[in-house]
Amino acid sequence: MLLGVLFALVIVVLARFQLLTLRYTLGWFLVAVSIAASGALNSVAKLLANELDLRPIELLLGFSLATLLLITVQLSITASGLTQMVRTVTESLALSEERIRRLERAGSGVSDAEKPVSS
Amino acid sequence: MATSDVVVIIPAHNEAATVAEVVKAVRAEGFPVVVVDDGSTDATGELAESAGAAVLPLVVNLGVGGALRCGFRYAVENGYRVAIQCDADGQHDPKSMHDLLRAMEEQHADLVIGNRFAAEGAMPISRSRRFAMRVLAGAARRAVGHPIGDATSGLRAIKSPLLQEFAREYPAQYLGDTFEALVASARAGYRVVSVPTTIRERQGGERSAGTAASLAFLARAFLVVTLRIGTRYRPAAAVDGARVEG
Repeated sequence: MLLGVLFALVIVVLARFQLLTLRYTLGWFLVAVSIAASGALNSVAKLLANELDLRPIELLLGFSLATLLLITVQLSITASGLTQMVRTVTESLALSEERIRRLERAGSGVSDAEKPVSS
Repeated sequence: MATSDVVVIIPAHNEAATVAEVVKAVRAEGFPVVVVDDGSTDATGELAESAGAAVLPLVVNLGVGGALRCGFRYAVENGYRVAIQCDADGQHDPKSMHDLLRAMEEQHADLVIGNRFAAEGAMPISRSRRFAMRVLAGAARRAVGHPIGDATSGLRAIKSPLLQEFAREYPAQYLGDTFEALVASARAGYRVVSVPTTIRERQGGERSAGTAASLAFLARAFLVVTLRIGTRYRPAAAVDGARVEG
């Protein structure tokens, strides 16, 4: 339980310093609460482990692993989306810069011969 | 096909040694050129501009696929109907571009690939690379329905509406820009053909990737072919419909 409370505090501090967005703060806060609650729900974990023919530590490890896997997949999805966004923004910046240069050249009286076909 | 409808896209990353000569050679064939300066730390952009190319300066290195999509977006936004992509290292002979355009018209193709291994003076390659090329050529043949021969060639001509699809979505991973785009185009019903083309010694610069990147590409190519994941293009009719509605 102590570990869960400490983890929750770390999350709150990170969020206050704006190192975590609200979206991730909520997710990690839920994880912290789960860790804290797992101590209090010890008897439930034992009962469930018996039903599944597992030791309580095996059940907890399995649950932790599944949670971490889900978080990792979710972060991979986010990273993929961000990569796409960076790519699109970088391309748009390059296209805008080329257009500005072309307009500047046209404004300073450089021949139109270098300009591309307009759409 | 009028050369005013065509633009040549050259992705370049630290190709200061060769880019100006390549731009001049392509312009001498009558084509406008756009160089996508892919986060170069040398004078690639400045030299390309001095040689008469429009330059799209990417502030970070996106890789060949990223640079090419930027070039395709430029082509579509500026009203070009056909884009030809070519390397900045001087390996491609600009005179071959006319062969690509001729094949595009005569065979009603949407994507024409310059086959580096079919013509006289074909590029010499190592045994391991030849094996990888054969595997890819087999996979490409299954997707396209007829032999392509050189699925990873960087000399290609692309016609609208496929050009619009390339501008919308284009694989960014190493070599995905060549193989994956080819497979996705064929699967969407676009006509893909290849023509023999001459290849020259690299005039300067370095290879774009090492063995690890090549192996990663082969694994990705396997996933693209067997699991049908990766880039997907809309059929020509759907693209035209979207353009009319837009």
